[in-house]
Amino acid sequence: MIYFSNLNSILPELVIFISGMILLMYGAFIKNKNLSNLNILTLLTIFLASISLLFVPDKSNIANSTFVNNLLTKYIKLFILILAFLVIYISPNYLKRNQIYFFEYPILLLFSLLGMLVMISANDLIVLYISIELQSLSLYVLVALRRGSVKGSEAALKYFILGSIASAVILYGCSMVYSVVGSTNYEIIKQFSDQSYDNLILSLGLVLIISGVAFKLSAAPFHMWTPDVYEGSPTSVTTVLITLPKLAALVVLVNLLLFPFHNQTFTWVPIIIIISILSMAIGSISALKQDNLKRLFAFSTISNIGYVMIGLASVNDESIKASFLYIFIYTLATLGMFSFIMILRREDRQLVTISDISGLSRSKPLLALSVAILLLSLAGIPPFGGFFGKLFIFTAAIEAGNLYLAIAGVIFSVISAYYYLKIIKTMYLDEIGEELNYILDQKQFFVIILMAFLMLFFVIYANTLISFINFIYFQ
Amino acid sequence: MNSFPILSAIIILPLFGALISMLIKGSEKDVSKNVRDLALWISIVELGLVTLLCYQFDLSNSNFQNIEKKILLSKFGISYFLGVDTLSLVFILLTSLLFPICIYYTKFSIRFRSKEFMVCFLALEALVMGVFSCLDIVLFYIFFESLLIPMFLIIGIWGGNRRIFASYKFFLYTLAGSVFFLISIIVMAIIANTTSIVELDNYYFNTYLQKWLWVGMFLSFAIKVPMWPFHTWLPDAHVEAPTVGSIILAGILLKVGGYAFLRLSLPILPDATFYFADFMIIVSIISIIYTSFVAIAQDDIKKMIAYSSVAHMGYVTAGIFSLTEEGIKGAIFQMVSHGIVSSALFLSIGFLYEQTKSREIKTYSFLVKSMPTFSFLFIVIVLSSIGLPGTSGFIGELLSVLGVYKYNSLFGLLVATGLILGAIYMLRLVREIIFTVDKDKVLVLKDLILSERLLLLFFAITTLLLGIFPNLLLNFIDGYTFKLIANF
Repeated sequence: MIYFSNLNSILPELVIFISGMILLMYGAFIKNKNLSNLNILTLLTIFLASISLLFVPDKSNIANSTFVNNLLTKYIKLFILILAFLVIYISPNYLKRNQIYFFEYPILLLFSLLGMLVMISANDLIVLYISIELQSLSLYVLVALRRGSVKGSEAALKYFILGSIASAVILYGCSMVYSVVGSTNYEIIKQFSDQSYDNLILSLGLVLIISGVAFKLSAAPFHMWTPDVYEGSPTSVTTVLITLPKLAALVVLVNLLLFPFHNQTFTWVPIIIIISILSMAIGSISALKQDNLKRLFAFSTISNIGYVMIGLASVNDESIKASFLYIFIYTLATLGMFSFIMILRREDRQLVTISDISGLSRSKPLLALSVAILLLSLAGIPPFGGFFGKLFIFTAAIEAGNLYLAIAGVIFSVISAYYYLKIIKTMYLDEIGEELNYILDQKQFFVIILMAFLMLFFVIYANTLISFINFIYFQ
Repeated sequence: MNSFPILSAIIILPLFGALISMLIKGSEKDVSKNVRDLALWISIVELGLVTLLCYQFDLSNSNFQNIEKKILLSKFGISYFLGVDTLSLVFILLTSLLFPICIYYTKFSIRFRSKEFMVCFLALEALVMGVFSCLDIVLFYIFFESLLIPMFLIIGIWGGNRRIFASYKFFLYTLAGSVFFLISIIVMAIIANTTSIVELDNYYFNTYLQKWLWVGMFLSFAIKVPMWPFHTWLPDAHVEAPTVGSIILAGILLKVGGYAFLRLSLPILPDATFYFADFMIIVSIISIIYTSFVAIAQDDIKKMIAYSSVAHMGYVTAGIFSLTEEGIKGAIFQMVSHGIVSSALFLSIGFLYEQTKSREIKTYSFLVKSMPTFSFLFIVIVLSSIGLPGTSGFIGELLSVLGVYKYNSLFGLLVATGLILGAIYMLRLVREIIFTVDKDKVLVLKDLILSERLLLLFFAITTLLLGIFPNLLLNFIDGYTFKLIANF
């Protein structure tokens, strides 16, 4: 039961929920005027939610242990809140310029954020399902923000239909697990699964849940929606799609696989390995031919998720930490990259193809340099952050005896280096195509520089970061 | 040791210079002049620092000196670990000599975006210094890989017509090799639980494992050296790179591969090295003979010299894997000598190219008439490349062949054929461009100006000096070689 005495365990979620409701009403009254106030209030809400994380106990378990908190979930929530803060901080100008600035945008983002926070803490299949739905439904609407455009509608419809199927698959899996266990709580499922080694229904349920979550992670072979949706939705929404839900879904997967189904590794490890290799392969090979930056990064996400899965497939503490480190670096670098895609604008239109940025290094040297650092980091070239992410992932894989995964990983990282390099080539090596007069948005520019800075000096704070991950992981 | 961290200073100074260069503003012409002057001064100060390093180096001590260590990552104790022995010192010295010359020469060859060029170039110098002075294998990999980025830009921005293709090929080819090196590093680190090269030297891996680790490293280093059949990126990269890019590529970056064999493969994996020695020498022989024949068939001067580089690096790998004192000394000597000779050759071609924009052999004829000083110096350098006694090329090749001959007389004989083949194409080059009189093509070229003469003269004198007094270098690396041979 939730008593008032342990209300503090859900304080951040509560803050976001209540303020989301209030802002919704406020938005309905102001009707797309004075949106900057709304935006500031949203940022304030996120800030308050982050502060309220301080009051969340380091270990708590409420509502019949359907909702748990520990140090890991706490800090991942903090990280998600910071990312959301940055996304909301940079998006208004983008939305304004593209005439899709509606009051729903920050509010829906808040609700989606609420879903993600609950997802991270979920310790019960029902809570998990509901939070995934809350998160996804808000995002379906956000993807449809650009109502007039054909591509936007296509993306929204595709995302909605396929996303609902994925949710249904998760629900179906949950019901199967429930049918044999008789409960949806992780702890009871764990007791059951620890003793059963060949329960077909349980395994089937697990496989279905993994498939559904893999869809949310856009891991191959459940990735088909990714490029179209990422391309069709407004860039600021793509930025959300490509960073926040990935992190939340990874936590869900780690919680599920390592806690209730820890004894079922014989079922899920081969699946994760296949997902991992397929994602790396499809992601890196399909991206080679892309000219649209958003599509290219959609495939790059798929391949990066493959690397994260290597850590998951190696099932030990070191490898899970490596996965978290990797996704940490990946989200920061992609956030920078998508701010870059948002910033690319000439007169009245957004630029999205690679050829649009030819010769960027001459007109905007600092911007080009920062983007080059982000790209090299994503490609895993030392001394940038991405290299260390890959180093730890491969180390974990080899330590766990999965040498072949590490070898597959390095081969695909060479392939993917090609398309990251292609962007750098366009910026640095090509002649200036059209006359460039980008109007750089200061906020977006700041985020790009910040992220490039984080990637460039990763080696300096790497040790602190890794010992911090160690610390929160072992609590 | 609490003395001044001179190695860090050597690495940081060019990076600092690169940072300052980025901030220089003004009109295109002023910027390019100021940046070049700045870079030149930085590289001269760098040379001074290296001289200081050599001066305070204790030759009687065969351990690593000027050690600096700071833990970067607690996992495996990956650290910022620097230190030099005579082997590193030789290459650090070579690097610090070539960079000021190249920077000076950019006055004649780099005509646009000189600010970016200097930033890349200084960053490259810092990274090369890092490769040669670091003693942590992960740090080594970091420097080794980061080299690709500035080099990619140098070839890609300031290169010839097919520069983009060449820079891609260079980058991806080298990256593809290196990732297997990374896997080897990780496996070694997991088993030995350390990444320090000094500790790995003393750790014994079992023979079976050594072989696999060795193969992983081999792919990376063989591409860097480059050995046949992994050499195909080199001609493209050389042909398309600007002159200074070619000089650094041939003079220093190729040496990184040989250095890595000596620093990592031999001491850490002695059993595997012994096991693969035959294989390596055979591949080196194929390298030497095959690429020499290819060089004979070239019409493009730069391509010919690029292939000759592959052949010359074949002596290096053959010498190293003969695992004899002569062989290893010869290999190091050959690397230094090739660093000087090939730089001088590319520089000479650069002088010609700046005037005619052509790299074809048939463009040039009877240069001895129009460019007598150039012709004289060029011939001295070509003779050194062929390995005429009295030049540095002779000592390197002689010792390498001697080492291989000691290892196996048939191999020795085959390696020696390369000497003849080398003479064929280099002398043909001299005959065609310098002495042939062709009245159809009356090409009046200006002879070298004073500063250009001095540059070439410097190379010519160095190669003669090393050829006449080889002990200058050989005594220097005595202690190192002795220690290395003790492994086998």
